[in-house]
Amino acid sequence: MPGAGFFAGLANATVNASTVLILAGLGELISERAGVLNLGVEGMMLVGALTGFITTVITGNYWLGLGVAILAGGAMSLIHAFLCISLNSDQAVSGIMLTLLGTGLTTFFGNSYSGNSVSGFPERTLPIVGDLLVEIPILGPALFQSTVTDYAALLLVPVVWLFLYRTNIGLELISVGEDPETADTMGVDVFKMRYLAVIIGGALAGAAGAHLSLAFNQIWSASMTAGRGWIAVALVIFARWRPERILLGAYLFGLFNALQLYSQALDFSLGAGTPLAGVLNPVIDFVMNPTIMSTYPYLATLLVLVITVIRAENRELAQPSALVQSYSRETD
Amino acid sequence: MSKQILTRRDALKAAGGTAGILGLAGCSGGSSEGSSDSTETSGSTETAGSTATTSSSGEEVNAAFIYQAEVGDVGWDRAHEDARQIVTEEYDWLNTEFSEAVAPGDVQRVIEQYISSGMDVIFGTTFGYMDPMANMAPDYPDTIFEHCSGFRTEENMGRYYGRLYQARYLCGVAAGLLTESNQLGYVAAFPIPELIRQINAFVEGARSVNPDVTAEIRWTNAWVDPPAVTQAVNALTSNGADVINNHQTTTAATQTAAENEAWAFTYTTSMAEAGGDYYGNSAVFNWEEFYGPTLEAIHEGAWGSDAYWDGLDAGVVGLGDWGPQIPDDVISEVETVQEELVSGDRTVWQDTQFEGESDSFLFSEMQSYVEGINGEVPSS
Repeated sequence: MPGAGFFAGLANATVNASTVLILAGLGELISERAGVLNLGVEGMMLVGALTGFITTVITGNYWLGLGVAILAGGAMSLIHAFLCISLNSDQAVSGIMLTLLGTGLTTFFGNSYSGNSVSGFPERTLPIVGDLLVEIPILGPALFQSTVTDYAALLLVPVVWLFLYRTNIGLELISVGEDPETADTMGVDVFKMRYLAVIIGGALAGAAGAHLSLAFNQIWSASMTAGRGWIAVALVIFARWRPERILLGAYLFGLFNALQLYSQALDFSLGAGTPLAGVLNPVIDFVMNPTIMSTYPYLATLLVLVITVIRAENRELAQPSALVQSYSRETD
Repeated sequence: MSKQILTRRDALKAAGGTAGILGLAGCSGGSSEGSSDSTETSGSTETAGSTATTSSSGEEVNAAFIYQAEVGDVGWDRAHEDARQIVTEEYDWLNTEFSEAVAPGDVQRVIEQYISSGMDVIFGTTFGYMDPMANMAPDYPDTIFEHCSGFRTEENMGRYYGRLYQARYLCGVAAGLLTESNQLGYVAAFPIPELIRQINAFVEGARSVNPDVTAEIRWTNAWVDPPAVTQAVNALTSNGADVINNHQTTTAATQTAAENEAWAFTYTTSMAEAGGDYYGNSAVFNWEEFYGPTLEAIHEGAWGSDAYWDGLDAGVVGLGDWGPQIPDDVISEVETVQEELVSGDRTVWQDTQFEGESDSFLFSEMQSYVEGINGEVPSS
């Protein structure tokens, strides 16, 4: 039976893996709540990771690196915003293009940085109460011995919730994603609101990338996001477009990610004498296979989709009604 | 006939207005173009004319190197590119060209263009090129094909690889001497024979000098996933491992090991910067030890298709520079072991279940751990 050290390590790895998903997931959620699907998260994350890294290598200032990553992610998303909001292009096509563009550009321009490392955001305890909190068994070091970007991601969950549900601008943003025509009639600037949402989404994706290259890994490596942008897109669906569930989903997906590595030291198979051992052991082997485990975030998302559709009482999927619909004002 | 080599970087240059002579400028220049983009752009139609004569004269050898990825600062393609630059410098009768970022699906087109521009030999450096090259070779009997890391040969296609596991064994000897917890950690990509062989050799090396050593392996199931690598190294060091080795296309394992104050070993190129004071060494390829003699044989008309798999004795694999904090007695013991391996007094697989196994078993069938490694190889 694994000891407390195992669970402390697992908890720490789960929290570590979730930060990037929270940041990118919240960004994608804001964009989608305004009705714009952005499948370019992976590309924007990579651009944020590289620009932040290069800035930090040159200036030695990781705060500046984070700032540049946020700007670069936002700038990247402007392409998507212009294509989809101003030109009414297909959102899925534009987003995928953004991912391919970001992957290609960062591989090319990051080539000479792939051996470098930086000293980025250090792990810190919180002021005053930090030294106490970190003593909490198992969860203490995981949650309260972290980098600024980890804390910021956690803090952003209630901030985004308040922004969306308790501010005028947030409610206008949601209304644009539900019914842009009515919102327009009510005097909401649909185009401005959608631009804003997409840019916030890009900025947060950039920050997510910078978290990897400046806080978590402190290196640059081509394609270092390794599909986490796509998991963030799945996470928004899993969370059914609600910020508080992003947190829950990010921890669940983070746990899958951590388990994949931490479970390799454990032997789950039943002893030879156990009933049904011959039948169950191959199943256990399959379920605990690291490759299979890496699909769990997607399986969980599919499961949520299936469950919500089955239980759907009047379109309970909670998807923004105008998601992926472009909007153009009638000109009559 | 178009003699342009339409790789991505050339296409970019072609767009810049120097189309048509790009594939040739490099041939006739005869010198390394380095990793810079700028050296080929001064070509003119005159070079095109002269190249046609030099490549058919029989005196000169024109060799093309094709890499799957962009050549970065570290890693697999870097090692091949370094060797290409060394041999290009060394032989005045040798002209070389290279293409990077060539996907296996595109390699046939790239090779055809190289052949039409007068290349005598094509070096393909990634496993995925094997089938396209082997399928093309019979159609181009006057061109020599050399493929790295695969298992197919043809009359005019040889294959080559290095016994990197021998260098891994030497890293293991150092690890066995350095460890205080007697626990080693190893982060690897996919459980395939190539990686398992190197893991086993590393652990065997450690246990040859320190029988109490045990090792734990973590598979990330990705060649590039730095966040997962960092998580895996954290898991290993928190379990007590104080020496970390890895098989990944990133410096993340070396970097994280050093952060966690564990000795860091790696492979293909030096990662001394990432490892800092905790850097151990790297099991490296010295491909020039293969490319040099092979190109000489081609130059002398003595080349024949074979399966090259040499190791420490040929110098095609070895160790890089030691980290700054590795004690001298560790280094000298590793050097002693290296001499024993080269002289044959010691073999990597002695006293293991693999002792006496054939090269073909070692190359493509090794699918279990040696003693001392916890757990079993996961089914892939």
